[in-house]
Amino acid sequence: MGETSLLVFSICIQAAIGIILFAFVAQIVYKGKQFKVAAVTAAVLAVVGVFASFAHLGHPLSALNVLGEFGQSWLSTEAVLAGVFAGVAVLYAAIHFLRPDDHTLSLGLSGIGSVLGLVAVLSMAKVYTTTSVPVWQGSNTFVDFYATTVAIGALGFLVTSVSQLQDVSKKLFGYSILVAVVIQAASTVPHILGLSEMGAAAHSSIQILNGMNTLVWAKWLLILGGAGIALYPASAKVQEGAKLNVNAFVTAGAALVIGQVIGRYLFYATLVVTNVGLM
Amino acid sequence: MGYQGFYFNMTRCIGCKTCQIACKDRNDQDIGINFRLVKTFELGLYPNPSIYHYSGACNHCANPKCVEGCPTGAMYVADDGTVQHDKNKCIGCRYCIWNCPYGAPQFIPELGKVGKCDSCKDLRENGENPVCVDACIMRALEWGDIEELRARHAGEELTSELPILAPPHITNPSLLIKPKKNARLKEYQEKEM
Repeated sequence: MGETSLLVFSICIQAAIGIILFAFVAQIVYKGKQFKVAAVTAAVLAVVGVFASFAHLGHPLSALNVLGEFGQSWLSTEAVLAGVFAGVAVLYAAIHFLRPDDHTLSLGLSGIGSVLGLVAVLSMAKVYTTTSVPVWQGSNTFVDFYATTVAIGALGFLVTSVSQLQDVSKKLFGYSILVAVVIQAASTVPHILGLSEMGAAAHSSIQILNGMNTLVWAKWLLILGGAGIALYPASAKVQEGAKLNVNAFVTAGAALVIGQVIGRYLFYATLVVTNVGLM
Repeated sequence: MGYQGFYFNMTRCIGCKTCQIACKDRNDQDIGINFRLVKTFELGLYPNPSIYHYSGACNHCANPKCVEGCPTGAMYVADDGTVQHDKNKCIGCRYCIWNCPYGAPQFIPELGKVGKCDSCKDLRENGENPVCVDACIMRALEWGDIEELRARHAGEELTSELPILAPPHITNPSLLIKPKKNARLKEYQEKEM
């Protein structure tokens, strides 16, 4: 499969967007708290994602050519938004070191990053749904991308901000992860059923999926299992002095990330274009 | 703006691939890269088997998805209505390959960029035909203004909608095919030649 760089790009950027989104929510809910590790993690993921996207190009040094079609082509829009988001993510991480007491600036940057990021995810999904690849068309791609953003983002935020969240309720994050993955799983069923009524390319994609049954099961087991593991400590009552079960969050995070990576691998592996084919 | 494209007489095509080879030779293409490709499809069982060939290239669509999707403007509609590709703008993202329902754009690894049929623009500017048209020993291919081609072949059954092709409403291809009857059947199998 030749789309590994896109897999890294999409997972890293979506994870970074999710982490900044939940950092923004947490800054509003738990006023006065700062989430330095989460901010740095998001920045690193965003930068890794952007560099991975360059690796996909035959001519990465000409990448700036995409600026001219912003707003005209979804791919150009996605590339520009992802790049600007990465810049905001780096800035958001930097102010935790340069101006650690400026909560307003921090909140502003995480807010801007969240809005930019959510629009970037929309453009990422549009990049795929507007192609001639039937397995990518339809609402499932939108659901999949946003669910990945929310689930990895919330869990990534929990794992990287454990020390700041000892004494507060984490139910919001636990339930966000669960709702996201349940919707993600539910949207797959009509998507697969719909594919069987489409043309030859869609049938080829189904055949590829059938040949990767083990991976499909592993994906859902890890995603749903990870969400379940995270829910237990996240929904536990907050008791003063009680130690937070960090290992449960780390285990859940690892399972969820691996599951989503497998899912994204399957997403690219089922790429079959509708054409009689010159290839 | 008028649109230019290919007329393909499937009832004449014998699948000799001379058009494909002429194109490959002219564009100096490596193994696996084809701006034109002939495919063969077989149908039916003994005692009624049948076969047909399809010679495909860029259809210089009126609503080209490759142009719509291209993030750099490298794919564009030229003044003569054909779809052209500017190698200087191309970044090799391959998004046009995912977008074209006819598989026309091809990634050329040694260039790190995409290439496609330009309908032999330089030959046409000198009043000549695309090389595939002149190479065809059966005179199954023609090039020209799509409405003029339609008028020239009035009375023939012409279509751009076949089971082997993407529905024409997606990109409105500048393509006129005179199909063999069996090319309308859905139970085809591609035959490796």
